[in-house]
Amino acid sequence: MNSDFHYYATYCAALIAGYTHEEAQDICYSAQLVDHCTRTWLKKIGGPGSAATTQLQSELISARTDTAGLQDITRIWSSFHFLPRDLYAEVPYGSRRYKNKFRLICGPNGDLLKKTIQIAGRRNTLQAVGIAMHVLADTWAHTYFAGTPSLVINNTDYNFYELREDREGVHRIPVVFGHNPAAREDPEKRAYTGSIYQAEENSIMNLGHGRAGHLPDYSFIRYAYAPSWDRYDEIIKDNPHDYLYAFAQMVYAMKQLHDESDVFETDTYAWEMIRPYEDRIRNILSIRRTDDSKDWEALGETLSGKTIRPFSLELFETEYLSSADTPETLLASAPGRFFTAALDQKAMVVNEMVRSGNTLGGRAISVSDPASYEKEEQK
Amino acid sequence: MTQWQKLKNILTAVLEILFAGLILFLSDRDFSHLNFPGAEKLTRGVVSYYLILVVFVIVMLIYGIRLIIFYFTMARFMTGGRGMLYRGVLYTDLALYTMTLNNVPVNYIMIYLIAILVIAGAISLFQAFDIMKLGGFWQFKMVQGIVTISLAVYGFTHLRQPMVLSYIFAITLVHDAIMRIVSVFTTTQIVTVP
Repeated sequence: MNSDFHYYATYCAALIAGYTHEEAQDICYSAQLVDHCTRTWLKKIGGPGSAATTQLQSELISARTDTAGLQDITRIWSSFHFLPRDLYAEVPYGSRRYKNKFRLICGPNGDLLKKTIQIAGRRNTLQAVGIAMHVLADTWAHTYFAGTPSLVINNTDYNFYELREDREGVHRIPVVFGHNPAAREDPEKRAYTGSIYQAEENSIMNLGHGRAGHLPDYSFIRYAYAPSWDRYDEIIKDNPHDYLYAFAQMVYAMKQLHDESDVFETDTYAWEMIRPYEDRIRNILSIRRTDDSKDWEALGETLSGKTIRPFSLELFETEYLSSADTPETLLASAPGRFFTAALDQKAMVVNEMVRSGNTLGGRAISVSDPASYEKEEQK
Repeated sequence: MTQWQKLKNILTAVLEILFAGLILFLSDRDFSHLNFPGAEKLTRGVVSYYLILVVFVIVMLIYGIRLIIFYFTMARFMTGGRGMLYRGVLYTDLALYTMTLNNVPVNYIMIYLIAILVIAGAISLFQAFDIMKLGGFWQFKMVQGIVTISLAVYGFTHLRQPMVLSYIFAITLVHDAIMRIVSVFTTTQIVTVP
């Protein structure tokens, strides 16, 4: 998903869930920051590098693909952008390594999503809510891809079609991806960019949905393709449907967090709460364009009656640097709370992976409050 | 980085430096005066060139065998995975075939090395521009990129000279070794919350 959904749609969802304009802005700011919080940026502001929630292209290209390097990549991408649906999935074939990679395939409504919302509730900060909403939304957009470099899981081939519907029915239009990262994407000309085919299993070109380009991040698109992991079966991805579910689930999750309820059930959606806006949301999601920000922003401003401040990295930089007097003031600042929540999320996902016998994300790592975490786990 | 990974990196770095030293040591030795069949071909730089060639063949052979293993353990279950098997067999065959050749022209290996240098240099420049945009310390990456591409250009202008090939190969090995050692002694970021 892009900033239109992570920033403006998250703002709308937070308002509907009951947060105030100011709170909703903090939440959507953190949800969007997940796509900007790189080690390079953290180094610049003096933040903790281990709190990185994403990687720049240049960081990825130079990342080592030895065991430690792959674990680092997997920790970041599986924790924040490709939350595994089922770490214990039955895979009746393949080596242990294959099965471990297969089990990292992202999807909505998994156990880890429940834990993501739970730790956001325990941390009880708007920044933790924002991060959780980013993770939740991406489970819908990035379904069927894994947050680890893997040819055997994430590769796609020429068997890739956009499904377009008109009065005569549904048409299958072949999608051919270009490979120039600077090229402008144009849905009307079907000009899409994807990563280059690399036969190396651990090439960063095979990370996440790189091979399917930005298509998973566009709300309007429906496409059919044969994923690497599904043994020649074709999958249909219906983004307008999935994005609507993502929105309804975000509202439900934030309602629970806002009300400080301990209960979060997967596969539960706030349909009644979004009903008054459903037609407008469906319309935004279905327009063929690469950025829906303006329409989401307009909806948000209608809901709150206030202007939404545009996203700017400088906002956090200034706050973080100005609060650097003591570790306590740093941690109490909004960026400090964001970093703490990011570390919580990363630790939870990696620890769950280790518990399932999957070491692709590395060995168990410390969490902010191990005792309470373990206690909670044992309940 | 775990202790084992650190040890592995240091051992690899030491081996790389030793090998680079051996190549440089042999690069200006002339063995053509020795008294055995074929010795007349061993003029300056040729022995170190053969050493580099052996490294390339071994790398290709390992790559081919790895692909075959990869097919049987993972790619067999992947859509279109049989291509891996074909590629693995092809690389293994090519490596074995190269071993049997009497003479492999210097420029083949040089072009391969140049390609690697150009890609590495471009990546460093790309990183430098990214860091520059975010306002960080970009100068190191920029210098690294420029030096790497300059080496590639120098190699391109001396395609058929085994001594130049030896120098460039040794420099890349030493550079990689230094980066490995630096990575071992750089504090590794770990996930902890104060």
